[in-house]
Amino acid sequence: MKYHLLLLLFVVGKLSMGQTCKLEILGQVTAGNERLPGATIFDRLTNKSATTDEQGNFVLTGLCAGKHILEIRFIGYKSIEKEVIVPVREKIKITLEEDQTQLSEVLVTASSTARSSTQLSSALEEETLNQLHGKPLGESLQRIAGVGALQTGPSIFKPVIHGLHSQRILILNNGIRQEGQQWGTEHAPEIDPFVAKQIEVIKGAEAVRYGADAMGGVIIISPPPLHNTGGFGGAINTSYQSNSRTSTVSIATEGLLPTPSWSWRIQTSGKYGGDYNTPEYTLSNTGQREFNFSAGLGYANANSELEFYVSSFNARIGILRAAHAGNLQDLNNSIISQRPWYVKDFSFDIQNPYQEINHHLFKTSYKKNLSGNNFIKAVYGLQVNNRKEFDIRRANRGDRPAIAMQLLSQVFDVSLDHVAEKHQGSYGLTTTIKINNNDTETTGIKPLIPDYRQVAAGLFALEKINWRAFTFEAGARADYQYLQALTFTNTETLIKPDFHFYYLSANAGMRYAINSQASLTSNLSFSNRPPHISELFSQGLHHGTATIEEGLLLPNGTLKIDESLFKNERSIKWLNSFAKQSKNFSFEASLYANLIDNYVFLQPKETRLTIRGYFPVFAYKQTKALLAGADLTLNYTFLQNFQLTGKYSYLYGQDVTANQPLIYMPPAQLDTELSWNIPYLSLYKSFLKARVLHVAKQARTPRTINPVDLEGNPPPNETFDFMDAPQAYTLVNLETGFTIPTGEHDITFALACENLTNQRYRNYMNRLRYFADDIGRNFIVRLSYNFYSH
Amino acid sequence: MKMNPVQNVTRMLNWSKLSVVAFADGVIYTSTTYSAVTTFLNEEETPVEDVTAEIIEEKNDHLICFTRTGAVSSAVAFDEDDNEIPVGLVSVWQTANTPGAATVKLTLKHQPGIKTGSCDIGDTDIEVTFSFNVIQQPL
Repeated sequence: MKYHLLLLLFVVGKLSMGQTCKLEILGQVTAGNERLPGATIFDRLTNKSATTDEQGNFVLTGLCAGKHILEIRFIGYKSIEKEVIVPVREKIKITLEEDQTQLSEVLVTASSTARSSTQLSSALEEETLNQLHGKPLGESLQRIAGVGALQTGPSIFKPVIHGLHSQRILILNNGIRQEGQQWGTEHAPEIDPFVAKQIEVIKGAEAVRYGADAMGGVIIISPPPLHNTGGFGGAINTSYQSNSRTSTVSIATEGLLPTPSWSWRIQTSGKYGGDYNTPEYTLSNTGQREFNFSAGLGYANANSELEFYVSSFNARIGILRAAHAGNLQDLNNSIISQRPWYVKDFSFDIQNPYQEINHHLFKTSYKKNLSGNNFIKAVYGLQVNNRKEFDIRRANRGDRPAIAMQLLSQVFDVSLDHVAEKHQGSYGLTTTIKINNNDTETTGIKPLIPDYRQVAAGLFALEKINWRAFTFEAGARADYQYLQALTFTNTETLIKPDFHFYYLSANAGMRYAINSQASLTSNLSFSNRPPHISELFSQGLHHGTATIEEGLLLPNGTLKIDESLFKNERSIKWLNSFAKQSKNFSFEASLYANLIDNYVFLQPKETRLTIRGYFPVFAYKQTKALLAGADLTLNYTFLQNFQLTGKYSYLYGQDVTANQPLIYMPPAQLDTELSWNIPYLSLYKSFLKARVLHVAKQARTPRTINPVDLEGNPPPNETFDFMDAPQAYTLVNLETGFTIPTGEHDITFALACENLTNQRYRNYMNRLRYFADDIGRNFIVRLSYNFYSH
Repeated sequence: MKMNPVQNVTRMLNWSKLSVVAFADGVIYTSTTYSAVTTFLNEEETPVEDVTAEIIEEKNDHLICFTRTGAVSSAVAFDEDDNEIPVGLVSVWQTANTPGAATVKLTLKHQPGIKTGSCDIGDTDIEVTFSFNVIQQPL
């Protein structure tokens, strides 16, 4: 490795010697279909600047070869940064977008999706995402204060925003609502994080804009825009991590079609890995495979944009073998032993139990500027989600899944947006049709959730008004949902109960710009959600967790179609934040309280004797819940090249009715990072980073009951856990990297070490904490190659 | 699987799934050594499937554990796998000298590649408790 590194440096050294600083960049700045005179172009590397002429043209002269970062600014438009590799073959074209949220400049608003500006949001930008290549989506999102993950082993991460997850979090993947099987705690989002250039998380309830699924927040995954490309280009990203010996490759290319205004992108990624290991033993059967593909085709002219997009996500993920608990006694043995009962040498093989997931998406969207400042947007999406879970099964039935289902969904959204100086707004209609089918022929098992048909439609209106230093915002939404389940009574007769749900959501917010550096935001949202099919109809043994789960419509273990057995979940969330930003310092503090009526959760009900011994029965219950907390983010730049970042989050979760803490609420954590941008001659973007993550012990948990004490003794009507919350832990990570610009290409190299001290720990939010420790030291090498990037 | 004659074996026990009705003559006597042969039937399938053959085939990965109470003084596996670790498809039960109620819990453990003879490892495929009365041996 040393040898290779030296070789690279040598090549760079030669290039640097050959540099001539007489090169220039020619370009043109436009907005919409108009050329922009008077825009400023600033080269960050040389501090040279230029202004566009009447035709929007500019020229920057006296430049050296290599990569330059141009900052293009024009009042009333969003400033953009553009990387340009000098020498440039042709005139570069820069398109600025009108700034719709000038007052909210503190927030990162690269997303073109019209949304609330009084909500709290944070984003992972391209640079951060590059450093997270190879990680699952949910793991990457944990970098944002207030965002956690419900984990099932080292590769299944389910995002948790301010304590809420599953049906309460919406994922907007390239402008389309992701419709997968998100109900299970061990179901991770079916998305390839390599497609994203930016991932933004809205932490408030965005139910008005996106519907009930967004009660807990929205995750917006944005690929780079198609129409901004200026020629053929692409990137190859590879990574390898020592723990699990996982290799990841992603290749993306993009370019323009010969026909004017059309551009395309093709991207593919793959992952191959074996068993993870803790500091002391192998986590047998935690390997994974992934193969993903996406392609986009876009047309853009001054007045309209048309886009087609297809993507395919395919994964096979092994579940820790030792996490398969046969019954309460087995679970007890696992908890007592402190070491998984099944530990084998490292292997790439994936045995039962494992999951196999395919998610295919076709999307088309159209946007047209109408007269004035109005534009209309329409999106259609077709998604096919196949989910198979292979359990440990007797009699050579291991190759037959225990769960096999297909969810076919269609989404059609249309919105009319208007953007004026004093007011902006959006009106729209969203519709969804979903069909879920279980393949019981293959499984030979009664499905955990039944087949169903769902049709939903919502109408919304949002309006924003700017007045002096204030922005006021209000929105309302009305929804209708038809749900028909196809299930069997205990006498095995097919029944088709159906439901009609009507529900409303509303939102009001305000932003006050105290001065040019500080702002205050407050948002109050009311959202409403009918229970999900899984919360109504779940029935059966969940093998991985060794629990029997029963929905709200199974009050005594038998199905009863009675709408009085459940109510809609209603949340009122108040979110306040204060942000301050100066040259070297930025700070954001947010406080929130979320009171949820009829909060749906799984509560232990009784134990049931089966042929395999005693199993706990968990029943979906509704209660009044309070989730309140604070997120703090601090960023301080000193001595020019040093940056200190601190993120702290705390959450208080309480079952108000039962007067006891809610289970599985993320513990408080402090994430600090010190980075040094090394000013080094020919290496670009070289850095050294140390990150220290401290996770506190979750002090507020329901009481612990040993699994064996449950056998045959139905517990009282209270929530409990099988094991005490794990101790607090601190992890140290180091990372270094640099970029070598070579003409129109560049190579980025990064080396990281996670859990440097090889600390033994268990994470409260990881469901496998009952069975095994979390992963030990991990070295990661990343190598990226960008060609003809723009 | 070995099947050795047991001293004083007077009766054979047979059972399937959750029932004890299949005792040779429905009665268990005091002060007797029984040889028990276990058969596992999957009655969720039609026709009913005998899983015993699969357990015999994978005997190195399976262990049947016995937990007794009451008027059964011991219940231990008799047969052995290729590594000379008990399997438990054939077991020997000794009843007490005085009559009374008794239970024997059978736990079929699946221990792929890790079998040591310990009952605390692996996952439980079947766990069944048999309750019965041990009556006085007729003279």
